[in-house]
Amino acid sequence: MIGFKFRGIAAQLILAVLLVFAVNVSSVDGPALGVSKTAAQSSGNVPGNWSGNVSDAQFWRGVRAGDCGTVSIPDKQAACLVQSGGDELRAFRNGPMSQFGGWSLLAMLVILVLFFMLRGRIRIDAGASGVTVERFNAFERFIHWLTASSFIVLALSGLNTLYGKFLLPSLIGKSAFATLSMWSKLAHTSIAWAFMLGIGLMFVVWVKDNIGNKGDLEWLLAAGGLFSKNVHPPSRRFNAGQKLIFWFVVIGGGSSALSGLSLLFPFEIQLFASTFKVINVFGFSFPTELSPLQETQYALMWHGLLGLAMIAVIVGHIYIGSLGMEGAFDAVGSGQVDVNWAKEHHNLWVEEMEQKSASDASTQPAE
Amino acid sequence: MGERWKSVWMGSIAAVLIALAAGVIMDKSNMSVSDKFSTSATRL
Repeated sequence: MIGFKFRGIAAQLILAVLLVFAVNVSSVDGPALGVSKTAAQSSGNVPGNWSGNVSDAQFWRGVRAGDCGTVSIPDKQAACLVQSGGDELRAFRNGPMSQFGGWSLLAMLVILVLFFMLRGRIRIDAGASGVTVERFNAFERFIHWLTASSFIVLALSGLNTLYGKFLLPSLIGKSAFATLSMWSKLAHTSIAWAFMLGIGLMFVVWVKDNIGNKGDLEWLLAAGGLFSKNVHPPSRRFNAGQKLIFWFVVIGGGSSALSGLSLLFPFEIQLFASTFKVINVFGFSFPTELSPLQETQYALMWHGLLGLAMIAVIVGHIYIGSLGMEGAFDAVGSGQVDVNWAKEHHNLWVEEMEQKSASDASTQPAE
Repeated sequence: MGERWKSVWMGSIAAVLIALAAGVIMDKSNMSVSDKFSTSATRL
């Protein structure tokens, strides 16, 4: 009887202690767990400090933003669970890049229209003589059009990739736009090979005539006579403006081709890390350890920027070679240009040709 | 065909032919869809 009574009293005592403890814990300043209730709810700290000094939400926010941890495997890039560079690329591509590119193209068109309105078509000042001289042979003309026609397809399909979704679905419907974009992408990646062949051949055939010389400075200072009638600074086979276009197409087109190859073969052709290592020699601090994803993001950005720049420049080239200058198209059309045109725009080249034909004639045995 | 446009056509047709050839080669060199999504394909 006493034992039973003792057990009852002990139970009651234990219950009382537990009750006091519970009240203590739930009270505002209870010391039972060593952490005050208010502290447990403030600053996102997890009570007991079990996960460091940040809350779960803050931890995962960091992961989402690209914070990396550490791994023991060789692929250190695996320490980054989420690579948020893609968000930055998309924001840049759909924001500043698209806007800048669009405005640049529009600006170029406006400049050309204004130039045509003010200067008009650049005529042959001495008038057409009717006598022609060969400017470019059949192979040279073929190379030019191989490159030019593939560039047109690349430009249009590339512009569709960047701008198409903002403009076309409302015009042609989503289904038609999807089909167009599928074929556009295939055309872009296929005809790129023709473009690469074209710029390679262009370089081989024309590089010797596109090395800069002193006369180019004089030509540039006179702006090639573009803004004044009867002003024709001396020029050899290619003037300074054409040399600039040549190097822009070869270097810009070549770089565009490399970034395009990187996009075609993303895990096999990765060029930015090694390129940045070279650039960093000049005091820059570009990242030199890049994951395949980061390489692809840089390639996409660079390819798009170069493409926009090339389109803007080539639109100017197309203008001056067609509407902008009388007699210019014949050079890459039939290959035969009027002698007066040649004397006005490439006088030193005409002199070289005349000297060459005179020396050829003098070495021919008499009949 | 006028001489003026002959080289334009030649270059353009060549570009299209090269594009077609490149497209066929690239298509053939890619894995088929069934191979690509097979568990035996370990490339990323």
